[in-house]
Amino acid sequence: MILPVLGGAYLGWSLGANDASHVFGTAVASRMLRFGTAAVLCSVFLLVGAVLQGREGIDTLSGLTAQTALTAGLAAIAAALTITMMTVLKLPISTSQAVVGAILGIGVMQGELNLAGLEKVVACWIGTPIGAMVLAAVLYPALALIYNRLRLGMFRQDALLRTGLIVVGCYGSYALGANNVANVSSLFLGGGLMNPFEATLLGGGCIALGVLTFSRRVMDTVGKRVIKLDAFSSLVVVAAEAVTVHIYAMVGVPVSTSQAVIGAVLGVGIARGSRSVRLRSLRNIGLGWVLTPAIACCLSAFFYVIAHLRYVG
Amino acid sequence: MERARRSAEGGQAASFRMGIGDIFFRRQKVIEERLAEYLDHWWECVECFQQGMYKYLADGLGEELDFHYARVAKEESKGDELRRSIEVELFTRALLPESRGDILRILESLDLVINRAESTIRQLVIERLEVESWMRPGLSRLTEVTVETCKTLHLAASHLMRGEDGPIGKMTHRIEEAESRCDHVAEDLLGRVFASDLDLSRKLQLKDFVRRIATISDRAESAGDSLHIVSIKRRV
Repeated sequence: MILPVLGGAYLGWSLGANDASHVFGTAVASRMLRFGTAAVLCSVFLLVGAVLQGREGIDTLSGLTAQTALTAGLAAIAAALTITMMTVLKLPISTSQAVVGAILGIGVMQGELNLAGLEKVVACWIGTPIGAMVLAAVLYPALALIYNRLRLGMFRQDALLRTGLIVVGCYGSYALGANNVANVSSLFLGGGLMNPFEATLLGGGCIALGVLTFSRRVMDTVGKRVIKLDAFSSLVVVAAEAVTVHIYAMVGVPVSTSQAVIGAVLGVGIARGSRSVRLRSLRNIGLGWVLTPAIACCLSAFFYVIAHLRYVG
Repeated sequence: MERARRSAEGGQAASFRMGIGDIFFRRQKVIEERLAEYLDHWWECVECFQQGMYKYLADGLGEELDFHYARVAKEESKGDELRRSIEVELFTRALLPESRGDILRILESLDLVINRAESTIRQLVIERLEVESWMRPGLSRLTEVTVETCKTLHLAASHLMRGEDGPIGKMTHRIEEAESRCDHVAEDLLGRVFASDLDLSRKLQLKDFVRRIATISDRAESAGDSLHIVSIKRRV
């Protein structure tokens, strides 16, 4: 029983530590918002999103295969190891893909897999970077038109962008909680350890803990990289990422916020007339997209075999 | 004078006030007000330079010039204090990094203009410089055109702060034209100085003085370019 809880808690903590940077990285790295304020705002909105709209995703992941406390624990370990490996390889981390991959491995070994549910999940994974890219490419000129027509003074422009970054940061946190809590809570639900509300609350709490305790450095790194875009572009990137992730939360499929951010950055590049698309970014999306679920799937299947070995004398 | 006029009209600073946003953007409001105050001192400094030059050209060296020099130095020093306090505020979580950079760039370029205005009057006072009587109309014209470039620059900076960046391009063009006129007047003066029978040392001293005045409009032109770049950059 302790295994899925510990594994899920680790996943939630790691998710919070990494993914908060996508929504508040710009604001914190540019020192317009204190880390403490950003972390509290992110945690609160994340928890609200998890509780209000996290259920759909939990149902999808729980419906992929039947879970016991043991298999949920094995899936959690496999997903956690995959995330650690992807971090070492410096590839975009997707907790959602790692968890789904791990559940898939267990489902294959058990011989019971909801293929219709899996198709829906994979379709949404393809749609994540593409959707964020299209949305950013459309949002950028639309918002730029309004922004330029406002004819605000230097200071009001600044205030508008700063407020906008905080508002989209809060919305992005809400969407993150609504979408990604399923990655953690579905493991807590495995084997009937707790009811869905408790699982959602605990899952959201673990993610929030990751945000509060370990997201500062990631925010600094990601924020300083993203801010090179300029504040307006960063605002569009976070907004496009948040809307994309929120749509998939309503569809009920946990997706990668990292891939949504990369897609949105490419979209802004297209809108600004950038002629060259960074092939390295596309390669990283592709590699992360294929490797994460594949590694998690193989690991969980391997752990399943190890756990079910019997001594034959 | 200018400051009093502004207070009567509600002030430049008031025009970029935020209303409800004051609660959330306290640091930003402080910077806005200090920047408006800086522009007031900046313009005071230019006016003191103009009055000092005209007084000198009319009456020569004397207590009146010393008085104007003291005023220019005081306004310039007050401007430096404000500039430093704005810089400190800028690095304590106020404004976006790109806005910080823009404001610093504008402040530094504006500061160079009044530094040179102050140093021109200082040169007169310290070197006890006496100019030839035939140079006075030319120097008066040079001062007039120099102040014209500064006035347009001051207007452009105020427009940028208020978000009325439409006419900034035209203003920058006007600054360029005035700067070009300054160069012509300065070259004409220098030509006459070196064609005269004065000692070489005296010629060089006068050349330095004329060049010093002309540099004010050169710097105003650079500051105008900075303002124009910032106004273009802020459009998405």
